[in-house]
Amino acid sequence: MKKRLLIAGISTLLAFNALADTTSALTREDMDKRNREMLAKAGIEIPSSTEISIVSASKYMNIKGVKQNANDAHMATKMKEYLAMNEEQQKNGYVKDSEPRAKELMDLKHVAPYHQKKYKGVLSSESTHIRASSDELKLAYTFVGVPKEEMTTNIGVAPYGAYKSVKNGDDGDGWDGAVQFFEKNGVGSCAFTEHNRKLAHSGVELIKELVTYDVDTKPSLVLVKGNKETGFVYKVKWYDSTFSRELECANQEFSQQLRSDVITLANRIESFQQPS
Amino acid sequence: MKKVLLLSAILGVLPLNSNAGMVSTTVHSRANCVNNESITWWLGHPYDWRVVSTHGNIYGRDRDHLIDTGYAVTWRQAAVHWNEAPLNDHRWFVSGYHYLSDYGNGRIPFDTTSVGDCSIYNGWWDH
Repeated sequence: MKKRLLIAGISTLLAFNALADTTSALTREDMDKRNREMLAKAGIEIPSSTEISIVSASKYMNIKGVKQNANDAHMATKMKEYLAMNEEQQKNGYVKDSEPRAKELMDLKHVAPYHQKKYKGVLSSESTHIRASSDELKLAYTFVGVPKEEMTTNIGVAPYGAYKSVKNGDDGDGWDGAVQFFEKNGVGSCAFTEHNRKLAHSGVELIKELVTYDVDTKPSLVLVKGNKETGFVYKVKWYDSTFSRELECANQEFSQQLRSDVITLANRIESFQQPS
Repeated sequence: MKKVLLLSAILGVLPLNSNAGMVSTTVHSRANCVNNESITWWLGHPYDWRVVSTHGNIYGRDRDHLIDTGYAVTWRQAAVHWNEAPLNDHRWFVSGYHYLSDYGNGRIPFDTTSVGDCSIYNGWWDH
């Protein structure tokens, strides 16, 4: 009887061991394949490369002969809004709308020191709090950031995006993006965001009608939004095969000169980056 | 305190001093965490986000499925399958596809997250 129990026990243990082995048998590639099958079954298309794709807005709006699902219909509506914003911006220089982000950026220099002092030396790598500098932030790649000579005051750096882990099959340990806050005399209160799409395993699709090539002749998007009550945010985004980058600068006023200054600043930041 | 935080995390109920994605957008997935989930958020900052979370089971494809939140303007877009996965079990793997509809782009996820465990995400509270 004891022998039978022992054999049964060993068999059970072996069975559990076999089950546990099933986990290790699944590689990241296996999981990615299964994920793609699930997505395909639901009609969701995810590009396999991190490259930039530029398409006409009509691709979103005119899906002839195909019944749009809710997400496609939503994007078609949004695309009409974005085209209208572009038209308004070309006519008036900016999109007239309240922009709460302006006050937030302008106030950050007062708020950030409190958080940096409160959490100094106690933050874990995964914490989303603002730090004094990128040296205190664990990134999965090298963040160059804004050159010192372009900042009147460096407010701090915070993580952006996802915290990647080698144990999960990612290409590094640390955040796949960061945002640097700073003040620039004559321009305003700014945030420079960088996102490493190779680490993020994500591509980007831009709308042809909205794309400019204002930053280093790379595909760019420029949007100025705000009003006299809330202030304005001057936003420039630009893309290459590895990074999505964005510069936002908040100012109480609107002027074409400020718009031009922010684009110039974006170009200077870009020229400071390592080639990717 | 740790028990309260753990319980809050498990139930998806955040403490009032939650600081997830406090100064920018952050994204994550968790597997085998009682829930399986993928979440995009930035505390107090509503954006037009969508999250697709795929949940795979190592013991059979027949249990594979996904959750698609669709687009919605919110500060926390969460694709959660409640009570799907025993805490710290190992059978599920989860991937999140995080979308943002914004001026000039939106139809492709801006970030992806893939996990096989219940890593507690420290940004959820003070430290």
